[in-house]
Amino acid sequence: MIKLLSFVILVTLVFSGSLSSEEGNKGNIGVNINYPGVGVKYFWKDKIALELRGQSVNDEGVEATVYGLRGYKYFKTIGKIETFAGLELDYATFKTENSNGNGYVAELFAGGEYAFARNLSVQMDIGPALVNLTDTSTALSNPGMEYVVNFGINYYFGGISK
Amino acid sequence: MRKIYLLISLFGVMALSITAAYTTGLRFGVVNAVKVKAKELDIKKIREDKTPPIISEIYTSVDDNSNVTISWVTNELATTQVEYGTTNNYVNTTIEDDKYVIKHNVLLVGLSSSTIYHFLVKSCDKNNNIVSSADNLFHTGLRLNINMNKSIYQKGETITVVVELLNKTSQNINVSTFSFLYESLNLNLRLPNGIILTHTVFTLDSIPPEISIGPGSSIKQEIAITNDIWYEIFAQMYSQPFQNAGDYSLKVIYRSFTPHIFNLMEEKNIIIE
Repeated sequence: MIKLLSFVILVTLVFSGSLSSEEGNKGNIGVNINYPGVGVKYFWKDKIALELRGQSVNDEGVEATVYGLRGYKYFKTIGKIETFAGLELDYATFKTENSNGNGYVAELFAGGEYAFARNLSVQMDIGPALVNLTDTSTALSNPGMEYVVNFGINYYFGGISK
Repeated sequence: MRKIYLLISLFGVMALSITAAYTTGLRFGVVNAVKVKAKELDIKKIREDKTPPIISEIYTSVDDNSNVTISWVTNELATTQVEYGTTNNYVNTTIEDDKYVIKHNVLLVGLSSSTIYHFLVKSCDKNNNIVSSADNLFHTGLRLNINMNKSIYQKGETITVVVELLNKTSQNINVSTFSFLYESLNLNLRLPNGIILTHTVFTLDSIPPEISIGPGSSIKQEIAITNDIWYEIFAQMYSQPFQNAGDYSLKVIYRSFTPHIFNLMEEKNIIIE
């Protein structure tokens, strides 16, 4: 988790010099704390953003980590909430008492983001995720669908364009 | 004011979503979906396991009071049990230790001195696949000792080990020649990360002759190990500098071939500075 946080800070520092959102969100960069992880979001276009994200848990006898990329497409603003949908692709590693291995996750999601200050917003989305993990020693796999809720708080260095 | 209400409402919705995630099976974050699938895979792996554990490295260690520790390893987590007796009818059975482990140890007490015992070890994995070893022997009067004049060594320093096979009985014991000239003796270096490097000092040229150890006497052999040997092995296997400093375990194994097969093992901890 510390490594991931260091990576996020490093990326932020590298790109923070080019932050500007005087007109639209294009080029804007934000960092976020999501549960349970962190991410860096970059607005490639005014309504399209990419996010590098990492999450990690270690409880109930399972150590799991995911690293991935999220793509957002923003749509209409309903009230004060910007709606979006997107795709997330992750690489996952895990370790349990009897098994360890890795796998992939693909999630389609839709949700909304609400800016409650010039630089701060909260977002939430929900969607189905296809998870396919493989045990390293036996090649046994366990593909299946899970529904995922994501929640995060974003800080945008260039402010948020309304 | 309106902004605050909106914010409270939004956090309220999120709080409800969190609650829903935990109560309805929604996963909170992709990593928690992975966690759920990992747990399922863990169970699936156990259920689909039809292969019993593989037992290896069965050794015995006899102490001064004729108590015997039997140790072995399995290739997967399994339970621990020993059957033993003075014949291969194994009239005694230890209570099964149902903790699932890889390294197994059983202490047998109340044994007769100067006696040969038969034993077998048993392990059962989580899907109830049971395995028993073949018949093994130990002699409560035959003891392996490792003696080193110190336990802390410098990098590159030669470690001198005196290995002694001791007859604690009042009779002669016939065993294979106790010598490092045979493959029966391995020196293992356990690295701090748990990896064990096995190094056969010499190769087996012929079946070792049988010799007799007199009552209360022993045969000794001195060996010299240099740290540099381990450096070469390590460098070859892992292609990275050997971190020589650390705590290591030196394991000495004596395997008698004739007239009985005994597998004795003793370990000593050494520190390389």
